[in-house]
Amino acid sequence: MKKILIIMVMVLSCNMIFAQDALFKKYSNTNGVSTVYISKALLGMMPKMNAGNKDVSKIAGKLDRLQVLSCERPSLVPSIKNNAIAYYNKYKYVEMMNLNENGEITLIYGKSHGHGKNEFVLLSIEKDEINIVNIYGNVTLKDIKQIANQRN
Amino acid sequence: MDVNEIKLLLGKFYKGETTSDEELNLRNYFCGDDVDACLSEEKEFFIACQKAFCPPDIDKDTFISLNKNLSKHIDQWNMIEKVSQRKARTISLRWIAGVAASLLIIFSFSFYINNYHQKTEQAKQNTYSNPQDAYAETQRALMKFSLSLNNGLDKVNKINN
Repeated sequence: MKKILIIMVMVLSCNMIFAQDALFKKYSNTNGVSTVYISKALLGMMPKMNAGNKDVSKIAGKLDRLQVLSCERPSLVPSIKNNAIAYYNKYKYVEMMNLNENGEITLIYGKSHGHGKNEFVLLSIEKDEINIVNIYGNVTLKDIKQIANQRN
Repeated sequence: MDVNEIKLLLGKFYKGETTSDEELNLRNYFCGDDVDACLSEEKEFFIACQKAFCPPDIDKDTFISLNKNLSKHIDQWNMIEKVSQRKARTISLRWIAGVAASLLIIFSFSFYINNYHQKTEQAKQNTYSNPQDAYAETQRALMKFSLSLNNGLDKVNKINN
C-alpha cells in the first residue's frame, strides 16, 4: 500500500512539473499572440550590465525564469482568459488579488514551490487585450511591490 | 563408625555443635552404602539437608544416559537459538535492504526529475539573444507587475482609510 502511494505521489509530482508551462506552450504558435521566455542564464547576466534601475537588476538576478504572454487579438481574449483562469485554479494557484477597474480586470496568482522558490502570475485583462506575466524564482511579493515604489 | 557414635554426632549436628571434621565424618557415613537400618530415616533427613554434598543414589548407566540426554537437549537448544538468531538477522537484513532500495529509487527518481526539469529549462529557447532586449522586456514586465500590485494595494488602503 505504501509503495503504491509513493509511486502515485511520484507520478503526480511528475505531471505537475511537466504541466507548468502548458498554458504558454499552448499559445506560443498562435497568430496574434506573442510569448516571451527569458531564462535564468540571461536574467543572471543583468546585474552585470550598466542598468539604470538597480532594483530591477537585483530582482532579475533572483529569478529562474520570466514569461510573458501578450495578445492584442480581441477574438482570442475570452478564450485565453478562460483557459488561464481554469489553468491556475486547476494547479492550485492562490488568487492573491482580483481588481476590476473600468472594465480592466487584474488578477494576481501566487504559488510557493518550496526551498524559497515562488511563482507569481499577473493576469491583466482588457476588452481587446490580455497580458500574462509569469515570474518564478527566489522572489516575494514584497520584492515586486518595491520595484515601482523605489523608482518613484 | 558404630551406630552410637553416629547418633552422638547427629545429636551434636542438630544442636549445631559439630566441627567441620565431624560433619565430614557424618557426610561420608550417610553418603556411603553401609548405613545401619535403624538410621535410615536419619539418613534421608541428613541427605536432604546436605544435598549439595551427597550426590543422589543413581547408578553409572543412568547417570551417563541422563548426561547424554542433557547434552542432547543443550545441543538442541543451541541449534534453535542459532536458527532463530539467523532468522532474525535475515529478517533485519531484508528490512534494511528494502529501505535502502526504496530510498535509492526515490533519490534516483527525484534526481532524474530534477535533471529533466533543468534540462527542459535550459532547452527552452530564449526569446531574446541580446541581453539588452531581454533586460528591457524584463524591466517592462516587472514594472507592469509592480504597478498593478501597488494599484490594487492602494485601492485596499483607500477603502481601509
